[in-house]
Amino acid sequence: MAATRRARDASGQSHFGALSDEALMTAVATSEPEALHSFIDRFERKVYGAAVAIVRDRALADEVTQDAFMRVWRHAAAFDPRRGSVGGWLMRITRNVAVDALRVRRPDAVDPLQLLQLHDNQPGPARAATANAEVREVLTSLPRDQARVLLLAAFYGYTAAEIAEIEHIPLGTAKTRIRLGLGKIRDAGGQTSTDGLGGRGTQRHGDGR
Amino acid sequence: MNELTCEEVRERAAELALDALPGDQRAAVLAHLDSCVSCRALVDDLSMAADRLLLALPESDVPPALTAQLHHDVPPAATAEAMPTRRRWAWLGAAAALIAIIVVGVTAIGLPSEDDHPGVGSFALVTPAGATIGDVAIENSDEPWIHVTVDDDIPRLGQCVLVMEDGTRHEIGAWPVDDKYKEWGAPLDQSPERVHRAELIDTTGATIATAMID
Repeated sequence: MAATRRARDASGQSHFGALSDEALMTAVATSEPEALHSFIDRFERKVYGAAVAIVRDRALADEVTQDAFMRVWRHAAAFDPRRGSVGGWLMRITRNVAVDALRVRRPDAVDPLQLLQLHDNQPGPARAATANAEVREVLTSLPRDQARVLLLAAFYGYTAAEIAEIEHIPLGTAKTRIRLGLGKIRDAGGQTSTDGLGGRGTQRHGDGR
Repeated sequence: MNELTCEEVRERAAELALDALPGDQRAAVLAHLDSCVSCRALVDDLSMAADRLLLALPESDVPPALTAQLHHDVPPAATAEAMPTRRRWAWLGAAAALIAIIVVGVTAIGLPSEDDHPGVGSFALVTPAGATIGDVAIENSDEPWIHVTVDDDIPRLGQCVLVMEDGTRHEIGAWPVDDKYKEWGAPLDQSPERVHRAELIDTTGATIATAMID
């Protein structure tokens, strides 16, 4: 495989790695290639992880990941920090690309709660940052039906009408569960504004890639 | 859809924040938010909550080949248009295909004369009623390329289909739901001179407009 990485400075770090997410995003919007490389370093695990979780197919997740970053390069200038975090914006893009990828085929009836590994015994990446732990706590405190409905909307973009059909519940019930569920996520948020990534990127030191 | 009340918008705010609201309702809610600060604040709050849900998805180690590809595909420091060609989705489906081909790579179109290159040129997309709503441009300089442009207010865009002289149909692009790219380009696998026409199909399967390619 060709080594096509751009040159780094002597310390092996791109100086973009020290920027906040928003500052890095501004640099990405200028199409500065080094900023884009740094952005990939910072977010690729997040994007690929979400893609794999949603489409559940490694080859497809590959394409989803590539297209998600393509959309970022194309629309970086449209990012509005007042509307949310860079991570959140990126995850929305990833989810939308992933959902588009799934539209040609019916997904298996996977319990979306599994996507968050809420009942896992696995160590490692599942033990995520504080923001994630809060979300998991709220989700496990919800009735399973409510949590599942909420995540069908959040991760697959299913509308209330589609969820009503999938879950065999009335449309009004689906809408209510979505509303109540998301409301609880919001209420549990407090003043937390972290995007779950710790804000500043941490550049890995030469790990053989 | 008529204008919505604040109560109606509040009922739909969570679905909007989750990007899970059907297109027509979404348009109506967004119209309300344009002029209602309190509903706008509610949606912003819920959007942050929705972001946190997505951010709770687990990270994953990335295959080295994918990482290499991502870095390889970083565009050079030129304009945003100079992006590498994105290969087409391998699994473009037939029915209700709503997957985007977002291929950005169209260079400025300097079209050779049609006499020299049949099938090459710019062709108007015309509705059955005779209105022109966009155009299809085909060029064949470095590689055969098709570029579709559609007016902003065409609803329910579905697919673009090429119909060949022999009657065979090839779907060459599709629009994702709620995504409003009105202009895109793609490599053209078919020979331009064998293309009879391009059709724009909406999400119900009806033909919106046709461009005769000569």
